[in-house]
Amino acid sequence: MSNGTATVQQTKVLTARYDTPGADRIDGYIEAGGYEAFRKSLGMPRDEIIETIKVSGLRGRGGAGFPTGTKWSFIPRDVKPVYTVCNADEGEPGTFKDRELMERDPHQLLEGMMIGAYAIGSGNAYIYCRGEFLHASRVLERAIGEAYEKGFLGRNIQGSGFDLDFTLHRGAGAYICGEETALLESIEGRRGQPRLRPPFPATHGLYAKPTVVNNVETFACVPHIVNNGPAWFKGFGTQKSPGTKIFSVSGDVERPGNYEVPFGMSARDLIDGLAGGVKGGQALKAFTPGGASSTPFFGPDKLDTEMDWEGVQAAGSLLGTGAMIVFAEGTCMVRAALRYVRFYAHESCGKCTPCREGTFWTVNTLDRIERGEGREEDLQIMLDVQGNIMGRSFCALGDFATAPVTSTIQLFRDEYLAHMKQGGCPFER
Amino acid sequence: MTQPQGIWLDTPRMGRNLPEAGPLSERFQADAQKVLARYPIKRSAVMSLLYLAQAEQRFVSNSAIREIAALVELTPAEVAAVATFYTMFKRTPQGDWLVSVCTQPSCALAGGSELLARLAEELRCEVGGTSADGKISIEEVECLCACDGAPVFSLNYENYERMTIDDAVAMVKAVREGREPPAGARGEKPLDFEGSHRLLSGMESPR
Repeated sequence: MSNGTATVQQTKVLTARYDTPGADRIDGYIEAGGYEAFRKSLGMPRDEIIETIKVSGLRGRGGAGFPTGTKWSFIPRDVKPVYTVCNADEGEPGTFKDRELMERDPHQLLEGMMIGAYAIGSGNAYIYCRGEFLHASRVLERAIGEAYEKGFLGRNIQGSGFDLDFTLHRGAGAYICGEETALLESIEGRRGQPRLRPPFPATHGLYAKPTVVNNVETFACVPHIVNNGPAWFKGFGTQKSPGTKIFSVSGDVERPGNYEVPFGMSARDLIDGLAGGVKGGQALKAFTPGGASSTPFFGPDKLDTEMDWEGVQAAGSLLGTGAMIVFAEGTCMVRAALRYVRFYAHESCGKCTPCREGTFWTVNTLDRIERGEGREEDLQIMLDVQGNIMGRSFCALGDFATAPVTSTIQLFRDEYLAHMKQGGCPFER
Repeated sequence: MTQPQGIWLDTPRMGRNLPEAGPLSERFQADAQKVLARYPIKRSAVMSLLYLAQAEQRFVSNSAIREIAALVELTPAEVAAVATFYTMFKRTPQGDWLVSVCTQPSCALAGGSELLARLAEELRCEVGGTSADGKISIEEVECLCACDGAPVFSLNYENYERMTIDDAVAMVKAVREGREPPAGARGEKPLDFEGSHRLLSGMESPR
C-alpha cells in the first residue's frame, strides 16, 4: 500500500523530453538543446571526451555495469577501422526502457553514439535493434535520415572533417543476440551464438576490428554528461553507481511504467511510491529487482534494498537491467519460475551442453511439479542441475537461467511441497 | 506446454516437408542489390535478404535459401543455419496477419496465456499455426518489452496493449473477417505482411 511514500519524485534526465511535443523529431530535439553536446565534442580532443566519461563514473546500463569510459579507452589507436555498436536488442522479460527511449527520444541515443564514435575515432556505427521493435526501428530510421539531412551524419560533419555513417540492423527474434559477441555474430550474418573471449570486442569485435558495444540507455547518458560535466552527473545517485537509472516496474502494481530515479532509491519507493503499490492493496509476495537475468527473487523483507549495483548485490541478487516485476500474494511462484525457465530453454542458443540440456530438463521437471506430479527429490535434482549449469556455461545466459529455480526453492519451498501434496497447483494464477 | 525439444527435428522449421515456392521476383533481385550495398561484407546482408524473401513468399522457402546463398556467396547450408536460428524467419507460409501473444511474467499476470488460448480456440488452430482460411497465424512469443501495457500482443509486429481479453479476441475476429485493424498502441496502423517485412529488411532505410 502506498503510505508515507506518496511524495516520491522522479529525476528526469533521459526521460525529460518524453512529453515535449515534437521532441522525437530533429527540429524539436535541436530546439530543446539537442546536438549541442556533439558540436561541443567535435571541438574537443578525443582523449578529453573519454576522460570526461571516465570521471563521470558512467557504468553500462545493459546489465553488467562496466565503466563506459574505461571501455572506450581500450580501443587501440593504431588499428582502423573501428566500430561503434549500440545494443538495442532489449528482450529481458520485464524490461521496456530502451524501447521507450528509442521511440520517444531517438536523437538523444543517436547523439550519444555520435559522441562515442568520434571519441574512439570510428567512422561506422551500427544499431542492432530488436526485430520485433517495428515501431522503434521505424522512428530510428526516420531520425537517422533527419541527422543525415541536417549534416550530423555523413561526410565532413559540421565542417570538422569527421565522417560518420549509421546503419540500422534488425534482429530476428533471438534473445541471445543481446549478448554482445552473439550480437556481433548476428551483424556478420551468422547464427547468434556467443564467441569465446578473449579476444574481447575492444580488440577483435565486428569484422574482427576494435569495437565498442554499449546499451541504448548508456549512450543516452553521454550527451548530458558532455553538456553538464562529470561533476553534475555524479551529483545523482551513489558514489559507485552515479547518475540516474530508468527502472521498468510492471506486474501486479497500480501504475506500471518506466521511472527514472537516482541510483540508490529504495525498492519500496519505486514500487509503493512511484508505481502506486501492489494492485488493489494486495500484499506483496515477491519481486525481481533486475529482470529475469540472474536476478534471484526478493521477498517483501528486501523492500528497503537500495537500488544500485552494490545495494542489490549485497542483498543477494543483481541489478541487471532494472526490470522490477511485482508478484502479489496469490501468485504461484512455481509457475512463475517455470515461465522464466521456459524462456531460457527456448532462448538457449544450443552452443554449449550445460545450458542447452540443463534448461531443457529443468523445464520438464518444473512442468511436472506444476502439474502436481512432482516428487520431493525433484527439488534436489533441480538444484543439482542448476549447479551444473551455473559457472559451466559458455556465456551468462546459462547462469541467468538458474536464478529463478534456486531462489524460488529457497524462498518458497513450501509452495513446491504443496503442489506435490495436493497433486496439482494450489493457486489460481 | 513446452514440447520436448527433440520434436523440432521433425518439424518443417528444419526443412523437411516444406512447401515449394517459385523463384524470387525481379523486384527482389533489384532490392537485394540495395541491401547488399549497406554492408562492407555480403554475408551481413543475409538477415535482411531473408526478410525480403519472406515479404514476397510469406515464408523462407528452400529455393529462396538457395537464391540468397548464391547472392551472398555462401553455401545454402550456411544460409539455412541462419534461417532456422531466428524465430522471426518462418519456415511455413504465414497468414495475412501474424498475431504474436506474449506470455511472459508481466503479461501472464494480466491474462496473456488466457488470451493466447482464447485466440487459438477462436481461430480453431494450434498455437504456431494458421487459420484454415489462411487469414491469421498465431504464435506465442516472449517478452515484447512493453510490460506496462500488459497484456501485450502484436499484429504484424504492431503492438496492441492494455486491451481486455474479450476486446482483443473480438478485434482479431473482426480482422479475420476482413475489417481493417485499428491503430495500435503507438498510434500506427499495422502494415500488411509484405509491408512489415519489407520494413524489417531495411529497404526503407535512409542508407
